[in-house]
Amino acid sequence: MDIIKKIYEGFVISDGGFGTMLQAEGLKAGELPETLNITRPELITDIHCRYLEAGAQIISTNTFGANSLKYAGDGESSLENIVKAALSCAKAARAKSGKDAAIALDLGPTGKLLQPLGPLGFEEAVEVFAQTVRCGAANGADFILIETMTNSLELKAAVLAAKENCDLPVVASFMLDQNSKLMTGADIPAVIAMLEGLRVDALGINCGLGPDKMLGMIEEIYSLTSLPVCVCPNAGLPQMVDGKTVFNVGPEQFAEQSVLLAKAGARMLGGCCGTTPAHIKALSTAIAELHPQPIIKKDYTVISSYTHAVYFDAKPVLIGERLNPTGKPKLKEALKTGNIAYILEEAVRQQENGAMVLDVNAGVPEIDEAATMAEIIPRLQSVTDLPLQIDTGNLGAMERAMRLYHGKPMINSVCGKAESIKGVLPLVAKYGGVVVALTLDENGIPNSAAERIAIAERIIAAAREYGIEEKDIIFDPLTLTVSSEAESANITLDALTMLKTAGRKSSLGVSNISFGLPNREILNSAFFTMAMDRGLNAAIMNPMSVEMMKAYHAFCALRNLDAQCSEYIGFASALNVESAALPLKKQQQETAADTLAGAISRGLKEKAEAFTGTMLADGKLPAQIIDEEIIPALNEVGEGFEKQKIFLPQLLSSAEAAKAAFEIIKEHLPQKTDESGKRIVLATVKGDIHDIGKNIVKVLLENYGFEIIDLGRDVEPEAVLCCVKANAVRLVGLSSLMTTTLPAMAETVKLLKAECPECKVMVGGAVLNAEYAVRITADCYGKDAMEAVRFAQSILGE
Amino acid sequence: MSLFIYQKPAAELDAPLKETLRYMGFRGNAEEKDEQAALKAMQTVKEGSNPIAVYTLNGIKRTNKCELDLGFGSFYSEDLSKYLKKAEAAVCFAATIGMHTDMLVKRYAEISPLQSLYYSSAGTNLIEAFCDGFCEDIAESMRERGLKPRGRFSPGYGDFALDCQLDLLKMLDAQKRAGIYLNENLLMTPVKSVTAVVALEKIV
Repeated sequence: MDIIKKIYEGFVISDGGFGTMLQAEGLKAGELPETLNITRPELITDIHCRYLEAGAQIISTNTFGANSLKYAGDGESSLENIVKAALSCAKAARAKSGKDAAIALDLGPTGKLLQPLGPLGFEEAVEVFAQTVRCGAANGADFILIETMTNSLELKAAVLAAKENCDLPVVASFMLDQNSKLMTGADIPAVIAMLEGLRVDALGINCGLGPDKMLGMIEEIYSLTSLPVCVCPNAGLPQMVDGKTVFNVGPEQFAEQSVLLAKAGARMLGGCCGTTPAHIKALSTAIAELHPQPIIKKDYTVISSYTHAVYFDAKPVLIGERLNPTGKPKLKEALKTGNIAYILEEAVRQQENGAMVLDVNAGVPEIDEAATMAEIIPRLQSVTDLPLQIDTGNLGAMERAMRLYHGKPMINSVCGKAESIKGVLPLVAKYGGVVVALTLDENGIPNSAAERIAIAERIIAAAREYGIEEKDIIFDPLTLTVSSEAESANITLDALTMLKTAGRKSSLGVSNISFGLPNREILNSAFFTMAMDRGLNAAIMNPMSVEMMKAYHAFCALRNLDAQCSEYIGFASALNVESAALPLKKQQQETAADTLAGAISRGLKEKAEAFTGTMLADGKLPAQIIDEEIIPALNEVGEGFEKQKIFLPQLLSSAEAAKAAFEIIKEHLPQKTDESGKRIVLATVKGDIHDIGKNIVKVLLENYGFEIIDLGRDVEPEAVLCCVKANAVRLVGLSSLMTTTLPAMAETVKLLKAECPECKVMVGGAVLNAEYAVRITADCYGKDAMEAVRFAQSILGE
Repeated sequence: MSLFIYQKPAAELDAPLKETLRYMGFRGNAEEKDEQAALKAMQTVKEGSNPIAVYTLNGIKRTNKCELDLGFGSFYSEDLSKYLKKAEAAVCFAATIGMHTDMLVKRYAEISPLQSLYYSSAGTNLIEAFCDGFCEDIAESMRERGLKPRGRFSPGYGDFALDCQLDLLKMLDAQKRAGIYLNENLLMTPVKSVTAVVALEKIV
């Protein structure tokens, strides 16, 4: 059966719960259900037959957990045998029934969490699914049914595995919680954007909830997707009321509620946990006379992160430009030296300042761009939930980034050159994304708006050949500086008007307009307003620029794109908060902080930054500021902490205020000399993922001038040793929160003592004590961050 | 054996500010700015959390002196045996507020450990409040049966081994039902998750 054709023709009934049936037949807790394909094939075949008799047109193989992680052996219960036997049972049932049913190769989650939340690598996950897919396709599955997915990255891995290893249609179904979100946080628009980008054939939801709870979700899915919608609810949820068990939606009620789901747009309907052939029979009867809702193509231009989608529409989208090393020496240096923390900080700051998407470019000549992208994309997605714009001309880097990206990315960029079209568009077709199309070609950038639009037309035509719809292209009519080309702003603005008139989406790198001119923000913000007024849908800009944000919020308020001007009010009110307006109590607190030292003691970061800037401007030397203000303040706070006059949060506030002051001072200090003598390696030991404590120690140590090599969390003993040797480090700090990871700490200390006996080791963490530290031959047990500082000072000197 | 699901919107949970401040490490000396920061963190944590518990109600098999079977295989624990001494039955549960707090803690881990600590403390407060609310509702629903719960007892307390979590979570189908994963070092993800046993004793 051509299942997709069938779905486009009308309703298709899927089967119900399989585990439920197996449990009713006596499947024991802990027993792997898929082994029954081999040990009791007649039972599996019989369950399929009962669903077929009940009216199911789709039967799903008993392979929900059939993957190489659970079936790693080569024997009788090898993955291949399990999947083959599953298909054979399904085929036997179909033959016995004499019906034209479709057999779905059922793929459930791997059972392991994917990185960065868990241990399973993305490519590893793809390969786990790929093995099951290859086996299922070779043994006669009609389509791939990916179901009950709770992590959209794992869902992406499964879809890619299916697409890369067979030609069968793919139906992707995910499990939502009562807040309409996946376990990893994605909302419905985000998942749909990603799945449509990956070109699945149908999508929907199953498990987790009963049919009544799914109604609103199906309505939302139907309103957003251009694809057929599937739904397989549970037979309600078991609950306890007044000490009695109240659970299960019976077949009739299930059917009644499923009719509502069908009316809301679902076409492929079945059941999940708790449902039985009786439910499917009732469902099949109930929808027999219904007509399905039409499948309507949607015209949204949308990208997504792992949590939410961003739509390109009337309200301009702000794309933060700060992660592009062009003209940013600090970022360039961070990319070269692998200073990921700097990159992550830039990302978070842009988000805090109002960016909605972040442009990411790792194009520094001396580095391996593809490897860098592969490292920073997942790291960025672990600190920011904004969608990313993958910005590179390196196709290898682009593909690595698109593959690993959790969501549907924005791609910057393709242009009218044949080589660019041939390289970039197949990637967009495979991984999904909204691609920025630059209106230039082999002849350069045309001097008229009309010629730029002509290039846009050629790119649209080329994209169509790759199956990429126009809605997935955003055009950049290019900004050239007015200092060298007097007409450039006019040309660009006219091109924007033409794009808007033709119903196309646009994006611009706004700041280019002012290259070579003084006080660039004046021109940038004015041009930004003009461009937005011509219909600009997205701007690559600096969200830290107050002038640009003023232009944006004013535009949105004036053009009725900001309901009740609420965003404008929030933004504008925060701009000029005079101290007179502060509550009295706050004023009293702040008067205590009228020096840099006072600001640090009181943990007032912004004030500390302001004082530092003023003192430097007044000609005070960096060393003077450190010695006369920062160090005394830190000492005062440190002593207060040791005497338990102040507590951890205050210590941390002061440390972060001091750090902010240092960051400003650093820019005025001469180039660093070799400070390897003050270098400390910090790590949370293998198996442990808690790092708050380690990060607190880090910030304090940095305050006192130590250079920290932070190896992060879950660090192998060998990695610590390797780093110590490579950097001639004399002190290591190890952290562990769990009793279960203490052996890993002992192992790390043992290895360091054996290989680098001159290197001292300090340990800390909630479950540690001085006695244990002695037992594992650590040199110091730091009960808190200040003790770590004191020990470091005693070993490495002031 | 039936599995039950218990859910309550985060907004309805009573998680007092002073508890978040206590988890932070304040000892009654927080200033207004600290309280504001804690309130903001609690709001953010609440907005993205989806508290859910999955539980069973089981009889207690005492196979040997301190060997117990609560439905997820037998194991030895003197302390849990003592805790369950007068119990007629036990509720076994796994609860979580979801992945949102983990993400927030991670977002600020390297940038601002202070902010990270605020989110972590707000998350701890919320999961504790959720577990408290759950136990109160269990008490309510068990009253008619003449049973009352004792304070919960988690793996890791006394000699109730952490590795019991493996079978406990498996019995509860916690990965599928509540999104709780356990790694090889017996750490749960989401971090703000709790497993526990609640003794149900006869009301006298």
